[in-house]
Amino acid sequence: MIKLTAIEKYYENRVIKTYVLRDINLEVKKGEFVSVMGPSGSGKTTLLNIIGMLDAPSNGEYYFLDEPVHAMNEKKLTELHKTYIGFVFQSYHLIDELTVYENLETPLLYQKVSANERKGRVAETLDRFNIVAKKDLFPNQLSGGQQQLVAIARAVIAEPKLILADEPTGNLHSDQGKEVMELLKELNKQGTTIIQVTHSESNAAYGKRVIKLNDGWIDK
Amino acid sequence: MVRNYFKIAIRNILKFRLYSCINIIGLAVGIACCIAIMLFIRDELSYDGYNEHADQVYRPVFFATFNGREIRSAMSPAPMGAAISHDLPEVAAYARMHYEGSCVIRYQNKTFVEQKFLWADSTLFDLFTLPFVAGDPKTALTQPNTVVITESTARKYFGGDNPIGQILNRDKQTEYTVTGVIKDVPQNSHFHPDFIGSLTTLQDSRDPNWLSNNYFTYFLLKKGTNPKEFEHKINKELAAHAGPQLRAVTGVSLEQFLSAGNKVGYVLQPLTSIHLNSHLQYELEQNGNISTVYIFSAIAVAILLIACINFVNLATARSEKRAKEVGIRKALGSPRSHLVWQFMAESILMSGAAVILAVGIVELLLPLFNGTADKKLSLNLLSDPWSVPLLAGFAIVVGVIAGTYPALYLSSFRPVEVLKSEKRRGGRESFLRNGLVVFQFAVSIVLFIGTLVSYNQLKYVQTRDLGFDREECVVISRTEDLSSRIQSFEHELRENQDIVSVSNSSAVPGRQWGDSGFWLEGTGADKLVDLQTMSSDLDFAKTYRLQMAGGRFFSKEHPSDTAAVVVNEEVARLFGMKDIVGKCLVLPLGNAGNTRAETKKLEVVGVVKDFNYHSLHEPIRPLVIGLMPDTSAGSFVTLRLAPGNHLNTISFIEKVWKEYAGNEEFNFNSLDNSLQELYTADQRTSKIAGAFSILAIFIACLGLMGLAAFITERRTKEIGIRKVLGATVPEVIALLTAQFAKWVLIANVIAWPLAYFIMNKWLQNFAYRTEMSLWIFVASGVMALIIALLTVSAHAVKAATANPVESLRYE
Repeated sequence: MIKLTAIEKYYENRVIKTYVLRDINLEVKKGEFVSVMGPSGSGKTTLLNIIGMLDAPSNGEYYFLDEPVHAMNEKKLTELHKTYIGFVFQSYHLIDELTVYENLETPLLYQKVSANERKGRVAETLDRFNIVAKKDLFPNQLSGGQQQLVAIARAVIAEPKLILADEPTGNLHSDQGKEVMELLKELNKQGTTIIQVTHSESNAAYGKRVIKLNDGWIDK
Repeated sequence: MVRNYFKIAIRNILKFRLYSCINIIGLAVGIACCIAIMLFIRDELSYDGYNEHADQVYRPVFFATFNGREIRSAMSPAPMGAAISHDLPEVAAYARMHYEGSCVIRYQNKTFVEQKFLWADSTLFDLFTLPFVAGDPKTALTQPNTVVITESTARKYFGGDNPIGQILNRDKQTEYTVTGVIKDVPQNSHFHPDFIGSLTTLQDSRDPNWLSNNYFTYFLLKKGTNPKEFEHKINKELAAHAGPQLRAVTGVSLEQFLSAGNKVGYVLQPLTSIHLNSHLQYELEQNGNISTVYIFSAIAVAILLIACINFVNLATARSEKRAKEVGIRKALGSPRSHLVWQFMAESILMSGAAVILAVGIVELLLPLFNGTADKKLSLNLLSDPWSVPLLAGFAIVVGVIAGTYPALYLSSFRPVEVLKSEKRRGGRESFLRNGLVVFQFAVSIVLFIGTLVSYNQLKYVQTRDLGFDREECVVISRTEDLSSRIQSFEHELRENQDIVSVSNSSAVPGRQWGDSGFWLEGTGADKLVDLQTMSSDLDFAKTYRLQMAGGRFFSKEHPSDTAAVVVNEEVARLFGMKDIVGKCLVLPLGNAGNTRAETKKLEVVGVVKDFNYHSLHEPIRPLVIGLMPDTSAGSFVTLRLAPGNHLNTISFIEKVWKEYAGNEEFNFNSLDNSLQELYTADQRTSKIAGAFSILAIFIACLGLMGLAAFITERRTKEIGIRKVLGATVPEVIALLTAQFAKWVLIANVIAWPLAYFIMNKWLQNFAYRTEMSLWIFVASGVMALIIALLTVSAHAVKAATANPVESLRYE
């Protein structure tokens, strides 16, 4: 599903080149659950953003479903990314001005899903995540765990093939964290590919494979 | 999707109330100004457009240069219309109009002084769309002694009775039978007659003389006629008709006359351009001014820009608050174009709200504006089917102008950057934002300076020494009907010891004066010059306290003064003579029928110092004063009163007037008042421009206030650290306000030369003008600075006095 070859990412100013990622070669198959680990500043988030097409590599090749992402224009990228990829962030990143219901609806709007189907899918998702009662609340009326639940619900509502989770439990206490991880595991079981970035060994254990990053290199 | 955008927009508007209020109020005030000005301009541009054939009607006007002096008159000769339409096939119809000032109209026991009595050819209604409510436009003015009146005039004289067939008396001389009633002439017309008498009534209308211009002529040209070519043909006709007459009257042929450097010709004015572009001698009415249209348009654009800039600045200044949303939406798969549309929708929503508010403001304040501008503008929201779509279009245009840059800017955020952490993006100083604030203040300062300069100039024209003493004088008008009794009337007035001096004259300062061609004895008609003319009795110089530059004024001791004239210094200058006293001027007399040149010689007995007898817009023209014959009376009697309470004196004057004039209306005004009236149009423009300048500053300050709020908020942490390091409150306030002061100072640097350039142009309207002194510029700059600092200081003080522990807690 994902194939990265010799990916490099660096920032440049007049004097120095700062490398974030060096010579990354990585393959992720459909249905895998991969955990990316490493100390702060090792390039985990950058790697995730590149895979999620939010950021572009400085060098190297990236194939997503055998299509060359590194050679695509902006429009094609957006198209690919909104159809196949869902995001879960450490700090949830819900839109503060929208209710739970509207937050869930937003990705469907961008995929031009008809109003009727939208209604159905939002209702279904609310039901599935057990948050029907919260649908008219705004994010700041929810606890952190609840917010992350909504964020995951929003990530899966468009039925992505790949979920990218950047420290999804980082802001949660352990009970809530566990719940979230179980949820991801469940999604993986149903066939969604998941790549998560995490600090915690126990969360990493949910994954079937662990990739360790250090100073931008993948530990062999 | 769209609903989602609007939902977010509305929630954002409600959540950030200060921000939304500043934006909506600023835009609303700006749009309200714009709407008012657009209504004004639309009205000014619509003049005479109500005529069905407006685009085919033209008026020839007289442009000539006699010995280097330009003459520009709105009138043309009596025979021109008939001759041209006979000779040139392009003319579909023509009509002439004639005006002779105010008159007294009597009907049974009703007597009114009327200002708007015109005479016109019966074809007038073929050219101008003046619908009849009674009578037949084809025949109404074909007979002598007939008159067409407007509906309101009919009501005034006849109440509910049928006006047709009634007889009106003009000046106890002529009787007119009413043969038609027309609807009142639209306000946006360059002439507004209450009475239109038939021109055939006047003997003079059949005068074949091409050398004097006393009629307003209008041609209806056939469709497809090239007006430039037609104008050329008219001037050819002029040579053919006027040439022989010129030779007969002056003994000089047209070729000789022209080869001496003189120019004579007619220029064709399109009917619809008369109101704004025609400023000639002897206009039918005071016209508007295209420069007012330009000034107001510029102000409207400036105010709207200032309001839009507020929007841009506030939207980009608070962009951090929206950055997260942009990042999330992009991560959820929104293409940039969707975000652009979302932010556009938001700004259009705001400008829509602003337009609605603006309509309310306009409805509320339009009467005030109308009063100041002397207009009858209205918004006609319901009756005009165009107004609602136009306003909606306006909202969209303003929304797009204000929203485009913020939309592009906000939608450009990259999710990787804005979602990276909880920390807000560092507040980078935006060069564009600073530039826009400087621009706003530069525009405001220009408007300030403009207002002060025009105020100063108008004060100057009202107080300048005009070369005569305008204080303590009153003028009685319409005295010509006293004719030979004028002597005893004046005599009786002089008996009163509170009346210092009395003078009868054919003209007074501030009114229309006549003009005539003269040449200096010893030269010929090819050295003809056009001089302003008037006649007065012996006491004119004494009453007006004119100074003599040489010779003497008319006097009793010189019976030969009946053939003498007094001139002003400008005449001597025109003829290039140091001492003109004792020389003779030659006035051509003969009418066109004569074959022999007939002239009258007038000896110059004195030179008065130049005095401003027209408005200060115009330079002093060369003037010839002749002596009024004993047997006739001029239109005006000027009285110089002794200082003190004039009430008794004036009732005395009125009593004497009644004795002599019976129940004729007593028309009098103080000289000073009637001179002030020359500048009402200028004062109007200056007042309106001043009010709009204040609004412009207000809107700019509104934006500055919002910007100050955001900037100080962003610098809260910096202020906290500085205070921990030992900065005092005044130091912090200085730090925060210095930035704004810098902008205003830069704005001054831009505004001063610009304002100087613009106002210098404006002052060219006046032949006599004040200097633009430096203090006006300094005062405007300082004022803008003070206003700006007051606006931002509230936030600066709040930020500076805040407890640093609070602001640093969350770091």
